[in-house]
Amino acid sequence: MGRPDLPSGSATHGQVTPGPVLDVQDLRTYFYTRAGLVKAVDGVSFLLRRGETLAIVGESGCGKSVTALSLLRLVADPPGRIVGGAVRLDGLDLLGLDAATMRQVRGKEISMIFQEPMTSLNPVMTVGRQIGEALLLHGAVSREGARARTLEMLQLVGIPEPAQRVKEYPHQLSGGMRQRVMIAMALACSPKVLIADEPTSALDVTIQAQILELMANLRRQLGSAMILITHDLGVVAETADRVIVMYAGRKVEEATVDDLFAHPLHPYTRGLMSSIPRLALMRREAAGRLQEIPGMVPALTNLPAGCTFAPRCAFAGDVCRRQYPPYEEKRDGHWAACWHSERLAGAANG
Amino acid sequence: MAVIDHDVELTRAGANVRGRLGSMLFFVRRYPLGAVGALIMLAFAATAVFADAIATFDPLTTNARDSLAPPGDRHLLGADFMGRDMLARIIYGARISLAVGLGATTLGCLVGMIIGLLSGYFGGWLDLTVQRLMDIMQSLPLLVMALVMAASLGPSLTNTIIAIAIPLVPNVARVIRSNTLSLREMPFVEAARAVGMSETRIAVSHVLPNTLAPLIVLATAQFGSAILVESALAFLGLGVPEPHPSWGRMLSESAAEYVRTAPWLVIFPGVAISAVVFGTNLLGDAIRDMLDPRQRF
Repeated sequence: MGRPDLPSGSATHGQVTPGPVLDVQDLRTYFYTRAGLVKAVDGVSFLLRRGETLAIVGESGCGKSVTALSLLRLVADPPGRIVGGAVRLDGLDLLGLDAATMRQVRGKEISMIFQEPMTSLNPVMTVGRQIGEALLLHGAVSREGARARTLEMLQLVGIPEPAQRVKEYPHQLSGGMRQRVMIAMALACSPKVLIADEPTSALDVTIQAQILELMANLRRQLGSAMILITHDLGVVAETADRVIVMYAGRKVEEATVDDLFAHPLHPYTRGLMSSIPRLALMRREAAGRLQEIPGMVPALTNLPAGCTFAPRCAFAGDVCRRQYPPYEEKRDGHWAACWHSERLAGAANG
Repeated sequence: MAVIDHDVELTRAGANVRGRLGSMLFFVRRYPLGAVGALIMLAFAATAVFADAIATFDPLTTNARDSLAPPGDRHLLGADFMGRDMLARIIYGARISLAVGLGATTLGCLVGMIIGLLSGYFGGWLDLTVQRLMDIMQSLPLLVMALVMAASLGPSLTNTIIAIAIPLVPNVARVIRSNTLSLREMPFVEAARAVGMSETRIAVSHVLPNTLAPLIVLATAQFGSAILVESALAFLGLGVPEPHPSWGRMLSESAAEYVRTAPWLVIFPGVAISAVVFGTNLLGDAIRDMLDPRQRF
């Protein structure tokens, strides 16, 4: 279900409740730039259930990374500002917290893995110190405790000879190793929510699978829920439980992974899927050339009236150009914002 | 056909370096000029620290009979107008130079570092104000600045150090600021934020250590120039006051009068100053090469 009827976080902070661990309502993050107002995230809502992996997919500039940064309140201000909405972590409204309390949430309750393992680690600090720092920051551990936990985490993320590696600097590690260190750092405090922003995009394909598997395993072990931000539908199919498709700052489709891949109800999602290179499965009529989505993501300062995807859409009609489609539940637990979902569903089956 | 001996090549690349002594020997082999510089600096520092043990004469005791004695058995480097032993004065002069060089560089770098970090990391109106102030300071030549400072603060060792340190501040602040500006946009700063670190803590524990490499390079260069400026100030009569033996003043007192009749009074302090500045520059170059990550493999 896209909008489950679970009671949304009314419990006190810290308690394990059956409700969603993260409840995002109508999140709006705008950028005030010289070129004009950029609505990078424009009214995005979603629930993240305990232990679930939710993928957010979309092209570059669709607002998926800004959504992630907004959850941690890390959007640079200026030019960006979270202008509306609510982010509730176990009932605690993150957008209302003061800066010091928010810092306590970061890294402890919600942590983030970044895209660039090469530059996301401080080059002049040993990896052991960087992981230990995160632990010490969130209190309750002694220096020895932090050291022991650091070794344990390095072991957990599959770094050989952790006792040796803690003393090494990032430049002595490979890209895959560094991403493992980043994962260790992010999971050191067993956060409730892990946000992974394109965690494997900068890595070799062979390493990608390893890292994804590692993240899935660790997530299961530590019981964290994960938001996986990616443009790679292959990664989504492998890891996620549910998927949100974003386009131009808004959610255009949401469904379980199986449902989404079987019956995409938004032409954009279909476009994304047909632009995945396939080797063995390449159909005869599609062979030779990859399907692409025509046109470009519209400039967020100058969005077209009506459906933002209409200019690139093969199904677009008059109504699409006039009015933004309502975001509705088209099938059980499968939501989409498109006037032509029925035609699309028919086309997919036929 | 040439045969490549892998062990020899690896040793040359530093693969077999073990322990402190090993890495020291590797440094010598890799940067021979830097090693020479290091040796000069080491000798200089040792001279300054153990001056009491090395010098055979008291640098302040005058002796009318030895006035302008040429280098010889009794006075190895001769004696000055007042019959004070030149060798002893040069040995003790190392103390003044070391104190001034170290003191002014440390003070200047510390203040410059704080200013540069604050202004680069936090930016805003603070950055704007501080940078304009630095602009003004930099528009005045180092020596003239130091001159005015020394003249207004009055002659003493502490004041000389302060006078030389102040003009160093904008140089250091500039370098630290520009490094900080690029460092604060680095993903690891964002990552530190995502872990829940406060801005002050990020600035101090993540950004600052990354600016240390350029700071060390700058500091070695500034060390040499601090010694030079001290000499120049002393030459103009504004440095460390009598009776402390300062190389610059030893040079200035003798230059006009005795350069023909007693050239040893001019040559030896001059050589001492040149050697130390040369040494810092050699060492500084080697350190810069060593810390340059593009050359480290």
